[in-house]
Amino acid sequence: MTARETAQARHERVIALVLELDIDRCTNTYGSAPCTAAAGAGNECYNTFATCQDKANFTKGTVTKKFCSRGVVVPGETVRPYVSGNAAVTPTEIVPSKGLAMRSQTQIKLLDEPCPDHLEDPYSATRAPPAQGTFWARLLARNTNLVGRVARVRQGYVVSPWDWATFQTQLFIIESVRGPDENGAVTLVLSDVLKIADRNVLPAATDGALTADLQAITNSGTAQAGGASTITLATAASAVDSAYNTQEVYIASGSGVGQRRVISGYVGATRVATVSVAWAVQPDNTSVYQVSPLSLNVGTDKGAQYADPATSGKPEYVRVGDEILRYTAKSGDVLSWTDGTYRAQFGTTAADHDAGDNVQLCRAWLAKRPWEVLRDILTEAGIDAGYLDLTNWEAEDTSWFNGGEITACISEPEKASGLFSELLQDLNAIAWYDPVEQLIKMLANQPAIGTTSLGLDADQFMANSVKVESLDAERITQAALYYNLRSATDNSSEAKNYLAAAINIDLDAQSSSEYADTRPYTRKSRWLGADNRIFARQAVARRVARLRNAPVKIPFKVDPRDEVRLGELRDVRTRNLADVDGSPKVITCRIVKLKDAGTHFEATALSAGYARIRYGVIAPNGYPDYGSATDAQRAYAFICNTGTNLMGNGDRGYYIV
Amino acid sequence: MAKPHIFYDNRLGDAAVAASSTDSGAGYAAANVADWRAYTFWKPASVPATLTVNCGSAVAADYALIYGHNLFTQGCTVEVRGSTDNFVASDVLLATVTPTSNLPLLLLFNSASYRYWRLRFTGAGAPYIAIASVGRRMELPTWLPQPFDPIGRQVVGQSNRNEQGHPLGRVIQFKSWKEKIKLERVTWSWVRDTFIPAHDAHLCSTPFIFAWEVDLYPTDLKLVIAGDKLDTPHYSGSTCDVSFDLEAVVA
Repeated sequence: MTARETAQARHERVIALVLELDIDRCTNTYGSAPCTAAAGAGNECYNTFATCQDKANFTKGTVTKKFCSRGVVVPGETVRPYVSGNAAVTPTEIVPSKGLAMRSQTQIKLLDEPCPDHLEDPYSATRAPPAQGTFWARLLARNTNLVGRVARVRQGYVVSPWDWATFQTQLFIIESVRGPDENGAVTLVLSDVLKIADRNVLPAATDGALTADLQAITNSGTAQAGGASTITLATAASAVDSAYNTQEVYIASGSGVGQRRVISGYVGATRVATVSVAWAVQPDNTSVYQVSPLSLNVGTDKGAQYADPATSGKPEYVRVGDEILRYTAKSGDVLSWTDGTYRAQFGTTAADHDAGDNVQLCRAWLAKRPWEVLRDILTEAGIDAGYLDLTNWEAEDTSWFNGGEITACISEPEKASGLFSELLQDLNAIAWYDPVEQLIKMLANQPAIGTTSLGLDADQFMANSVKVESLDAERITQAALYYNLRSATDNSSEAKNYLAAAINIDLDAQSSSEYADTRPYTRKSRWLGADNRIFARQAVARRVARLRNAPVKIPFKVDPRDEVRLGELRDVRTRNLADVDGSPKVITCRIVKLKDAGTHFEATALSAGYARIRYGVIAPNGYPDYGSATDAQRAYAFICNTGTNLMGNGDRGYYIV
Repeated sequence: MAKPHIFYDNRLGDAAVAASSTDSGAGYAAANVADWRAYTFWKPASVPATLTVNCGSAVAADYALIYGHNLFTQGCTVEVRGSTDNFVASDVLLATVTPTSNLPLLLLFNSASYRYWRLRFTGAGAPYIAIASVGRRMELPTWLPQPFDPIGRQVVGQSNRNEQGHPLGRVIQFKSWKEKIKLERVTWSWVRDTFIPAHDAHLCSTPFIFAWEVDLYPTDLKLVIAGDKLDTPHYSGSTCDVSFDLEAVVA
């Protein structure tokens, strides 16, 4: 057993809460290089940015301030017993229908006191007057940038000798600091890391605007003639010299069809355009051509707002009106593309745009795995990749999201958490921040396959804490998924804008002998495209399988010795949920809500299986026939008898979902 | 048998405490020993180590105490020393002890006056110390009557049972000791000349050590805070009762 488990197993446990705040602190010494401040002894800074006298050389480090609950003394460590009462916790709640879990919030009230300053002021010895005020008044005055910094809530047990291994550490971000109140106390509001995604948008808003009209086709017609490196445009073409320089001429039909060349010179009087690379097949007076621009200008000093494809490591797009263009180079305020095929991306149509039209940066993914897209959304929203459980994300992707890669474009700024949640819902996946593991977890919202879960029953449930709630409102009898959005700038909430749909209907559930109703579920996905046809079909089948019977929600409490983990699967057995013979029924549930109340854990379990369906990954090579297989082996799927859909011994057959 | 004592007078609070060395870890300043806070510590870099204070002129002391330490774990011996010349020629050992536990430590000695006071620590390893005090003890003039209870405590916590009624465990947040101290029929002269000055200077606002029986239970030292109310009801003649609340957290 771990030290924590040993402490939890004791009959009497003394609990403790320790809050650690990582506060910015300059690592320099006042007046010593590189610090050039020179106000002299007694006038030093406090090694914080707010009090810094040489901000150019401020060297950011951190110092950890520790606070604990009343009655706790951490031997040999300065841990101020300022924590008042218990932390007020609104725990994370995994809501499968929303994909992204409700973000947690923890509020901790910290008391104040007048205290000496020598532990806080690195230069207290040289200041003439003793420090005025109280701990928090001084700390807040000297540290004006606490929001966004890291806070750790450590909850554990007091043992002798003191052992930090009995503590579990949860990591949060400081969302706000309230107070000081009338007694000087402050309340720290801590949120989980995912809250960062609530604050940021993707793609970034850009306010560049066309400095000149941008046409789909600048000039078109039938060529008068052609040469080795020239084409004589129609007489209706511009009479101005150089009018089409740097634009593309494309032979749409006739001699030389399909060729694209960049115009390097144009003589208005003769309509002769010289191309930068000689024609492979010379155009002539049968050639129908189109001239179109290969760049746009977003306005003076606006170019910095746009990603440079040479350095961003990904294809870059902008939206002008209802057209999405891909640009392949950026030079100052000019975005340019290789040829005319880079116009009208993601199902949009090349169009004429006016000077002054907004040029909005887009975020697009081309043939990326779903987990990569999820990763990009969060990291580009400002969440450090270290918080993402990417190894397991990729494994989950491999197991459940095998129906194609994602090609999609977000063409206007949207809240990052909204995009993340939307894609999770499309994938039938859930994600939440686990403050203990300090990782954002992501799972397909599907039952476990080939594994067994720990039990949870009356031995562990605290008295009078278990109830069962049937979530009938979430029951469905059919699911439809619209996908393959016609154009990335179309309204994605309208079904008519989608080119494909997958539908699964459980006729048994709708029959008069069963529910005798129709509960449709409809989803429209702008993330899934034509390549995701198989996944779309799987998604609707799995959704119906999971929700054809109402899910069951079971709130309960357990003693600390029976601690559960958020997101884990447990086989729950309670007298409140009986089988037909009255015996307690075992159902596999996922722990979707968990709060450490100190004296106990408050949790909610949610049923996580497929209704009525026997499922499993196809049995590995070398397994015996079903009749000879062990129960553990039968967790995998075997082929059933033709016609009966039953196994050889009469057991139910397996479904492919 | 001894009457109750209050320990608040502290030479180490008279002036800045000079430590022979201080551990380089964060927050181990020598000043921490004199702040009456159980959660701030001084730790020397090595032993032998000393804490020395220059009181400016000779000041008396008759006790030393150390609260919140690991002297026993570190195999340390403590010495209380006084000097007239900052321990050049004058260096008088007034008391010494080698702790047998990490419980609070009290050394009583005959009153002596020195300008320089020193605590010296020798032993195997560098200890940490939360509170150190060298000063004049205040002995309360009466015994404590019923219902004074030196041990009783209030547990703040919760007992858990499972659905079948079996106990799952008891979770304790903290244990507190709260008592009303009542000194019966004490003289007004003691109250006005001794107790009230101490109350106004320290006891009403700052933690202090309360010892209910230093002879029989010298380690039963409680770091207490006084309640907001002080009552001194008068008796005809020149006596009164003195009553006030004390509260401590029990380890």
